[in-house]
Amino acid sequence: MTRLELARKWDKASRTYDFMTLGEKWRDAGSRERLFNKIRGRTLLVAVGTGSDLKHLPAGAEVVGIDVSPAMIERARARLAESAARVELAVADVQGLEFPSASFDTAVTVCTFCSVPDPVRGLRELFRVLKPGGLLLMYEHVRSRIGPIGFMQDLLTFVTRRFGPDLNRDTVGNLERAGFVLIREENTYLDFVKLIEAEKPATQ
Amino acid sequence: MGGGIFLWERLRREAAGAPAEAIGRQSEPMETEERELEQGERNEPSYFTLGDYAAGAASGVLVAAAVRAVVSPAWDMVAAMMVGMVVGLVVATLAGLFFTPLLGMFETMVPGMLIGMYGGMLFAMRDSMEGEVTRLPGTLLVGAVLGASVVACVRLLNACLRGVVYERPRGRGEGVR
Repeated sequence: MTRLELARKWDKASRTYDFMTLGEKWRDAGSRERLFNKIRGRTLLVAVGTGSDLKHLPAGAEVVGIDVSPAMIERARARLAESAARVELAVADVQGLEFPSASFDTAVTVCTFCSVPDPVRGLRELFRVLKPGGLLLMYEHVRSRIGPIGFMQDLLTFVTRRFGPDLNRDTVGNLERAGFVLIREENTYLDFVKLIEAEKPATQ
Repeated sequence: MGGGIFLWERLRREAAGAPAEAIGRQSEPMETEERELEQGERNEPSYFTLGDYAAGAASGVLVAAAVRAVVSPAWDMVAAMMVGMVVGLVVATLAGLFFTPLLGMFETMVPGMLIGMYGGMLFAMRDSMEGEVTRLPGTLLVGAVLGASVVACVRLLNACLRGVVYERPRGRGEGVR
């Protein structure tokens, strides 16, 4: 999928995104807040979406929010005032970032790497732009290791990837393939939704 | 067997009120503030609990009704089960679109799809064998019970699996931060 096709897909999804994720935002707000509390230094918020998570950013944080969809960024811009952090927004694809290497202390993703066409490439880009010792914080859904649920996710992905995310990604494995070192992995719903912390090693 | 022991161990720790921690790995407890927030997430409002069961029961009823409408006793059982699975998935997906904004995508999708896929197969098997014996109200009641039961099982499984599964021991790589 080209960047333009990807942008179009998420431009279209931006119209119903807030409504469809309403319940999830109520229910999982605590997990996201815990994740955002760990932000330190200059932070890259990947796939900022419609900006519904901006209010969870800690006061004073210096954040650059990116999204591949211009329509999502426009909606997020309208929510900048809700955030206590200093936030800049930009249209960008995580698979090809234009930021210099080692320019961020933290990168945060919320339900992002289910939708990046080449997740390992995207994670390698985050690895590049993070400073040595930099932190990657993720709230992601992944393929379950529970047989019937994992099989169901594989089947559904044939349909869901046409208008939204893949449901069967191995995000923890992909992190390690991209060079990150896992610090912490927590299940927040079954073994399907996870809070993940990883680090770019200081020495390689 | 190993999975059973893992689940039992998690259940035991949950029941004992022990803090979430890695099972079978060296780990350290969460920071106090973080643990309080995590405990708060576990005690979710009863609106969500009731909503989960209502959505599960409703999905079960809809899947049972749809399968009954499609499958008849004249069908071959294997063909009926395959069609039942597809019909169940389609109906559960449509029901999920309705419940997702209210209850959350993940909490709606997992039980909904299990009810659609496996419930659809079971209902189709039953309807291909004895469709005329079981009357429609009984069929729908069984659908509701199956839906609510799937939700109960998923919630129990979630209570077992939720929590930290890996935490790097402090000390290793500490100088990196």
